[in-house]
Amino acid sequence: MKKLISLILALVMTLSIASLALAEKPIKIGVVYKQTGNPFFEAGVRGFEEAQKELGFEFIHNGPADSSNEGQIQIIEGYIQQEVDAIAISANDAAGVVSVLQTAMEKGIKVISWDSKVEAAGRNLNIDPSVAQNIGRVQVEEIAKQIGYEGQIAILSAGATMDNQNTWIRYMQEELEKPEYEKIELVTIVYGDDLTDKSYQEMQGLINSYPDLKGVVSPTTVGIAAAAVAIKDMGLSGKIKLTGLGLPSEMADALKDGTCEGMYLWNPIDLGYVAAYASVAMVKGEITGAAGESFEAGRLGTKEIMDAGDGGTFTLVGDPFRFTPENIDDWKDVY
Amino acid sequence: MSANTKNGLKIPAWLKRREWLLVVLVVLTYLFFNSQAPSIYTFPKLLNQTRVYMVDVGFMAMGILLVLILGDIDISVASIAALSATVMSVTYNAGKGIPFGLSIILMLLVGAACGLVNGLLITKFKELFPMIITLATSTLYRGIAYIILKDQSAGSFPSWFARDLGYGSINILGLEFPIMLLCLLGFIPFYHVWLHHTVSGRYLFAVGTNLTASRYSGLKTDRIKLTAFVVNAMFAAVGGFFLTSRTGSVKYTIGTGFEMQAIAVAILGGASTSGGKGSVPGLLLALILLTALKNGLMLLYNDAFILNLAVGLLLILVVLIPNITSSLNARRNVRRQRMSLAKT
Repeated sequence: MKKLISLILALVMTLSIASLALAEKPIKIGVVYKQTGNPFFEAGVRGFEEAQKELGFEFIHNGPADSSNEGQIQIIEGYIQQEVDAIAISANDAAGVVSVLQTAMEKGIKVISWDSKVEAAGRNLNIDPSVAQNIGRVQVEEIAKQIGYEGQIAILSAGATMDNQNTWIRYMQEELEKPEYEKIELVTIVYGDDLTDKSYQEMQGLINSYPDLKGVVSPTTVGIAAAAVAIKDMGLSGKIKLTGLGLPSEMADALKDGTCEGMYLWNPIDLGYVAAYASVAMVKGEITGAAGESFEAGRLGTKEIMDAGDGGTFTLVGDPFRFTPENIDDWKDVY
Repeated sequence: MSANTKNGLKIPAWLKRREWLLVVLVVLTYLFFNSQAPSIYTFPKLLNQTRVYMVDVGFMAMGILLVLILGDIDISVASIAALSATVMSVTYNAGKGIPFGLSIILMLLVGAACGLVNGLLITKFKELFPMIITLATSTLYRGIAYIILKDQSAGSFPSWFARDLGYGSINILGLEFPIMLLCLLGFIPFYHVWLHHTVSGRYLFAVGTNLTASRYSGLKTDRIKLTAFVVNAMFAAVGGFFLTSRTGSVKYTIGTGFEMQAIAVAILGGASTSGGKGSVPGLLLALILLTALKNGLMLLYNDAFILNLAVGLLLILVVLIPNITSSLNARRNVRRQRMSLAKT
């Protein structure tokens, strides 16, 4: 009897171990963003969480405290060590993470960049929030309208090595060439590195260096929020116009007190959501990231993969949305 | 080794060294994290992570150690690394500038020049603390790097540098050793012999232990200090070189905060800010300990803040333990003497 019981027990144990080994390991995604504590990326992570409920994958997320390239490399190396199936990154330096991501791809890890892309050699696919040209154009249109199509403007960007910023600024400069903007002068571009204190100081510097400054465009959520505070602190609300890409939750006050009359942004939750769907589709082998392919992105429908013109491919999430003092209350609690 | 086992408690002198405490901590750290994440935190994988935590900081720490032995400090090493890496990347200019070999030499020269400035300021203006001087030059050097590069980054290095040195590894006895780790491990024996077993290396300890006595014994203390600062800065430049091979691009912010990591390694390894102390095996063990600890924490908590917190705690712990044990020993000796007095 004892022998029989022990035999059965041994059998059960081997079977359970075997079934454990056979059970499919869930897909694991490592998410890297530009810096911790940035509400934009917290919203992006909410998009991953939403997709997680629908697709059932695992994901971990992290970003350096100081927007540094080295910090992102450290995190990526940790993800490679943990053998994640895909890495979804918003890069601080488009060139600076290429080598480490190539090592990841050699180990079979899929690399998707979202929000701010990695150079083509270091990624399988890029998720762009919106057509870059539109993002550049709407901001120029907005600031031109606010300052009455005349006077000096400046751009307060994030980092000069962040590819999304550079692309938008390039399109802004192209847009400014048009005849209707001939009386507008872009005096300078300054960089706040997506750090609140540095952005604030750069904004103060702009105000001090250019006394005739009429408006500022800040195509970064950290920059525009810091600029709004700087303008308000110096008592210049309404005198120096401000627009750019801002988070509704951070900019609600500035929109209501007239520091900012209108600004744009897409939905960062959707951005994370599509990045998650793309990562899973790629790990499952449904897509390879080549132009012409497409994948299902849950509630956002089918997403086409297109040639990005930089040697890699990309897909689009949506269109920039205009936030105004009138509609801000509908959005400020969402993201 | 005359282990005195008369009362069972007496530990031989060679066992009391800081290095053994570090060895114990390394083993404990490894066993703890290995039990927490047995499939991820393994020796081969840890070996692969050494390039993230060990090599660039290691070279900077070797430089810092020289300055700490003298009883001085240099907090500009990370800025020196940034400036020399900047010069290297700008002169190479993605293949359109001078040959890469020349830009590496230029990088070392820039490092040496930075160290010379530090050393001259420190030896000529003795009333100023090295801490203050190097704090000032730290912002100066990084400021120059900013003037050169502005907010842009420079890169596109040859592939032997950005791929093979940065991410390549060599298989030795079935284990993948990162090439940059082998560079570090290959260099350390020479450094050890020089620092601990040659006259010029011992001079540093002499000057650090007693500056006045050294001067009266005929040592050119100022010249020794100046040389130490220059060599330290060149080590920093080499650290920046290895860091750049991993990043593949240089921005003026590169290596921010690495000076504190390097100082932490040297202090953990047995150096003291009051001078005269320091050991190369200790430094190597401290590097291994920090690699094992940081990588484990990164895996378990996935949070950079916890990393820094743990390093801080470890520093306090390792610096305090020898102090506590020596004060306990002193107290026990007093008690024993009292007892033997009471007997008579």
